[in-house]
Amino acid sequence: VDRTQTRKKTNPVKVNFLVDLAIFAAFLALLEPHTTGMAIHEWLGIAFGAAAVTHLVLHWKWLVATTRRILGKLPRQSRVSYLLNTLLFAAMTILIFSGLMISEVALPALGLNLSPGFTWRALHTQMSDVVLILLGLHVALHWKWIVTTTRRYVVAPVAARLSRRPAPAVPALAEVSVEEVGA
Amino acid sequence: VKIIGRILIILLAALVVVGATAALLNNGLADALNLGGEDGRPAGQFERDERPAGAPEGEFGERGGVGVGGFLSSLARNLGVIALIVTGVVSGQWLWSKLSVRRRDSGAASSIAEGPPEKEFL
Repeated sequence: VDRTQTRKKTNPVKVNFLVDLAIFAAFLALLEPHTTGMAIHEWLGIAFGAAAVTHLVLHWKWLVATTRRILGKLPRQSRVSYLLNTLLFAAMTILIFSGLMISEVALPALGLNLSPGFTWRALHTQMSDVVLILLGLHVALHWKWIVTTTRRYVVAPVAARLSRRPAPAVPALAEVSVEEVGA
Repeated sequence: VKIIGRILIILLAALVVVGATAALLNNGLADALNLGGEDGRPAGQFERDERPAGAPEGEFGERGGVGVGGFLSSLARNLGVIALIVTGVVSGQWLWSKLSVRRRDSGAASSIAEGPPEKEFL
């Protein structure tokens, strides 16, 4: 049996949506090191970096096409988006690297002992604020896509599943009122 | 191979950012951003767990609240910041598109009122 024929084709939009959702949730969790604890914070931060790279790889075509056209003709929204994404990439890189520099659990566990300074710690904290604002702008610029994709892949399937449910034993209010009017 | 190449390019770009940051930190960026110490030592000279003068007790410099209440209020604040930015940008975009449509419509209406352009004789 040809496996390629039987295997379901993965929907790239769905994959993008899931990766983005995971990145967003991870970032919110990373902003709470007191709650998660340092070990989870650090390992999640490293995973977050890998997820960010995955996000970039998934959007590689846009990245290359826009980089080629950045000095030429390009819609204003794409230009703004490109500039913002560049800043976000730089801020996230600094955030992750400064996090690695002040690592107390993850890097020592891998046998790497750095001598962290107050500068890296302070930079890490300030960058988390910068990334929060840039991420807000990134979400805002893609708000239409987020709403459309959430409707298609979250709201619509849930609504369809709810409408397919068997009728409850107790008659619905509308039915009762119709019968009462008929009587 | 293609994906590995792309990952390497991304990591190279990250390396450039890290290198630039480290270079800037060594050339006075830390002082400009007020990231260094205040007791005469140059920025970046603090050891692990060493607290500079004026820094609060506890794990200074870290975000997030303590306990469930602190976590929820901190989460609400972070989501609130994002929601505020999204609301501002989306409503700004909506307003801009409405204004540009109105401007286009008024421009079209005035050109109809003026009538067809007069023939130019050379």
